[in-house]
Amino acid sequence: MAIPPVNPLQITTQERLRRLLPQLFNPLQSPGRLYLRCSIGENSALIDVTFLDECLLLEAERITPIPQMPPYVMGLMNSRQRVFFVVDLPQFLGLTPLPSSSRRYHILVTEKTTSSHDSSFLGLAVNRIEGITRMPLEESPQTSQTSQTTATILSQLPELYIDSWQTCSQGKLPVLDIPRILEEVSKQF
Amino acid sequence: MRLKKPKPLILATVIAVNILAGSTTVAASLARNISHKTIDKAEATTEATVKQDTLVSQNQPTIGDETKTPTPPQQDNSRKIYKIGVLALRGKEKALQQWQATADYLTREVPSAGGFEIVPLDFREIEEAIRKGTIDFVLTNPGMFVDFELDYDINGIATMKNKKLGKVLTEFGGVIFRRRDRNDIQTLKDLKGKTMMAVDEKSLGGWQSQWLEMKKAGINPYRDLKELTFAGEHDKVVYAVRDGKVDVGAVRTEVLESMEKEGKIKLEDFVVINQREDLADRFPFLLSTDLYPEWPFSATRNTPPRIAELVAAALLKMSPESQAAKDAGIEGWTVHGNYRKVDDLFYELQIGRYEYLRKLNWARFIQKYWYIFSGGAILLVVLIATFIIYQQQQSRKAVAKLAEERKQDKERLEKEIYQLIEEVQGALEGDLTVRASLTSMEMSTVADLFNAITDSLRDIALEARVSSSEVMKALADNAESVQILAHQALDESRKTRNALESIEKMSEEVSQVAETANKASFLAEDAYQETQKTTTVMDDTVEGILRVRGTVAETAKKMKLLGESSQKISQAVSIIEEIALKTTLLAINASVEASRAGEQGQGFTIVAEQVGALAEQSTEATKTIAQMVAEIQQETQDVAEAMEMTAVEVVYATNQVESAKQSLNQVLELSRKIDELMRYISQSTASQKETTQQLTMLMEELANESEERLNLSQKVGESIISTANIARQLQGAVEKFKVE
Repeated sequence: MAIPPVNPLQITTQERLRRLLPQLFNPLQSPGRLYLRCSIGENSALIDVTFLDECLLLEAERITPIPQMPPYVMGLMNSRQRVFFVVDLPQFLGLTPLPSSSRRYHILVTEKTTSSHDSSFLGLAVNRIEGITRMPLEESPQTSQTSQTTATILSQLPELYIDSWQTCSQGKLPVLDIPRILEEVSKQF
Repeated sequence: MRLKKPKPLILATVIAVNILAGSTTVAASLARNISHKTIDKAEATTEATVKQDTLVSQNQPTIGDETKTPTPPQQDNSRKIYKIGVLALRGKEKALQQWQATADYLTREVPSAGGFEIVPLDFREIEEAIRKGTIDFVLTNPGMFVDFELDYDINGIATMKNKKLGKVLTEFGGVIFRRRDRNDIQTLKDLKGKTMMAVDEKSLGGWQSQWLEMKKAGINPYRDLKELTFAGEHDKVVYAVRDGKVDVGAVRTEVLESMEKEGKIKLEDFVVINQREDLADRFPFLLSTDLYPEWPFSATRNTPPRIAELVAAALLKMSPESQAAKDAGIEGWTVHGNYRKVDDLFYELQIGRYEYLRKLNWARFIQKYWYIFSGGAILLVVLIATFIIYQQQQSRKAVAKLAEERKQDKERLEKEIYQLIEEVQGALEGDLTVRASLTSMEMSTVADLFNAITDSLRDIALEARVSSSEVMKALADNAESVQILAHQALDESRKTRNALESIEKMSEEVSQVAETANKASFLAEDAYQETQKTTTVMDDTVEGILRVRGTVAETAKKMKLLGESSQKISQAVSIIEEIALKTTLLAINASVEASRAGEQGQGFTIVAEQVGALAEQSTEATKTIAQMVAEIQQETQDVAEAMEMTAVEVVYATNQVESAKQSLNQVLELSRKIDELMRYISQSTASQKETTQQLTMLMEELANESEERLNLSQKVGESIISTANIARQLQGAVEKFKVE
């Protein structure tokens, strides 16, 4: 597709965008699954997007602390007219808890569909939401393979909550088993 | 005659003095007798009235019956409120509380009177009240009663039967006491030089009774005490002693016991001085003095006698159980007592009505015995006149005798003078061997003096003879010496000429020195100018350094600005970071929503992904920028530090240059001084030249003078020869005196 020579002065913003980002205007069917990349403790981890409802930055004062709860439960919050608990994910996984002095937290809202209509929500506070990564489908489920990185991460993250491993531009990262985490958390209540 | 006359006078004086002394005692005893008689009379009258009163009061009931019959006109006169003046010993309130019931009792018992009222008064007020007649009855202490009885004609009608602490008393006295810890005061004699506080000068129990005791012990309280004060109330005295404000206190008997019973003091805090053990069986309380009758109740002169009678009767009738007696703290009233003892006390102390005894003085004495004094005076005048006449006669005789003696002396003296002149006649002709005779008494001194003069004259003549021959010999020697002197003068003159020549040579050398100094001065000036030039160059250098300093300061300021703007950049970067993060989140949320939409959202999911990727890239970029800004800041800081160092060095350099300049200035100063010194040298050499010239002149003069001296010595030789001739003549003259 040849681009006609245009006087640069007459170029509109839209045309400029079109030139700079051709993919946006020519959508391609790209295969593979979407993962959210976030840092938990000092590690990066992947989370399947399908379990997520939304992710947001939340001011610390919008989390209401609740007494008589396990230490990793930060309190109750509301979003989109739903009220649910927030869990300090690093602390839950046995890592260093999030700093209590933070003004705001990075929160992932997960949805767990139990029965036909009832769906319960849970906020997972992480150290930082980094971005989104797409993985090709065919390379999926890689069971635990012996490598150096795996070994170090394993020492910090309990294997129980790791679903699989994925290799991406950031290196080999664990995919968290969200349903299992949700189940464990709800058991505690 | 002279001795005989004064004798009778002395005798007369002695007799007169004896008579006077005798009559003073007689006068004193007379005065006492008179006053006693008056007192006796007064007492007799009071006793008479008392007797009458008692008689009347015995008849009282019948009179009382009569008063019940329709009112007689007299009753209206006596019907009024009668005021009873009460001496407030321990405060007016207390007195009112004590005696109000008695007034009520009298109002009840003497219905013919209009009623009775208590007027509490202190020691001064009570006398004034009686004098002015503002009260009708008086309840006061015996001392004041005795005074008032005479002065204001008051009549005692009853004496108090006191009841103190369960005991009935018709007598009282005074207490002298101290604090328990004042062990230095044991007896009355120890009171000398101490401070004392009493109640009132007119209070019997509170002062006068103690005064009498002290007088008996040989102490005059007004002279021997260090200080004597009067408090006016008993309680104040007790408190003053307790608080140590005074050494001892004087109060009435029972006051201490009453105050202890009221809980105001503790009795063991005090010790009574001169405790009267001999009266212990008669009197149950602490006591230092004699006992005196209790307080009398008396009527004043403006009280109608009938009312006084009724009041006396009512008082005597008062039972110990009545409210009035209880309130007053008394047992009741008895017949009017004998106050003679109080009067004795007054006489002893010479107070109250006996105060005049103290005032018997010289004026009164002379007034009384004037005739003895005038007789003595006349006798004295006659004696003196006789003595003066006798003296004058004696002196006249002595003068006549003295004149006779003088005339005889004069004649004898003249004779003796003639004799002396005859004896010394020979001396006029050069005979120094004559002698004056020493026979006469008066002229012996003159003769002696003359003999001494002729002796010394003879010695002088002998000596002159010897010395004139010696002079002659000496003159011959002198002539030779003068010759030698002349030779020496010649020699001197030659030497002076030689000295003159060498001085001229020296003068030439001095001129050479002056020239050299001048040259040195020029050189010094050159050095001075060179130094000045250097100073100017130095100044320029300093200015340059200062300029560098200014530039450095400005650069430092700009560096600071640069640091500030890089800070602003880092702020902007953090904002961008925030935006990038939010964009990432939006992209994630968008892709989540899109993936829910299934096939339809596929395209949008990819766009969202790409937006996310871009946001991630911009986050990376901001990180790089932030790092760069941090580097810039670091470098800026380094440069700033380097600048500061430079500034310090510049300051140091400035200081160095400054000090160099200062040392140069010193050099300048020194070279200037050298110049000055050189100038001074050339100037002084010039003046030296002048001095040498003057010296030359002086030398010349010296040479001339030595020549003159030569001439003079020749002249001296000549005059010596003439002197020798004169000496020879002198020898001839001395020969003439006859010496041996």
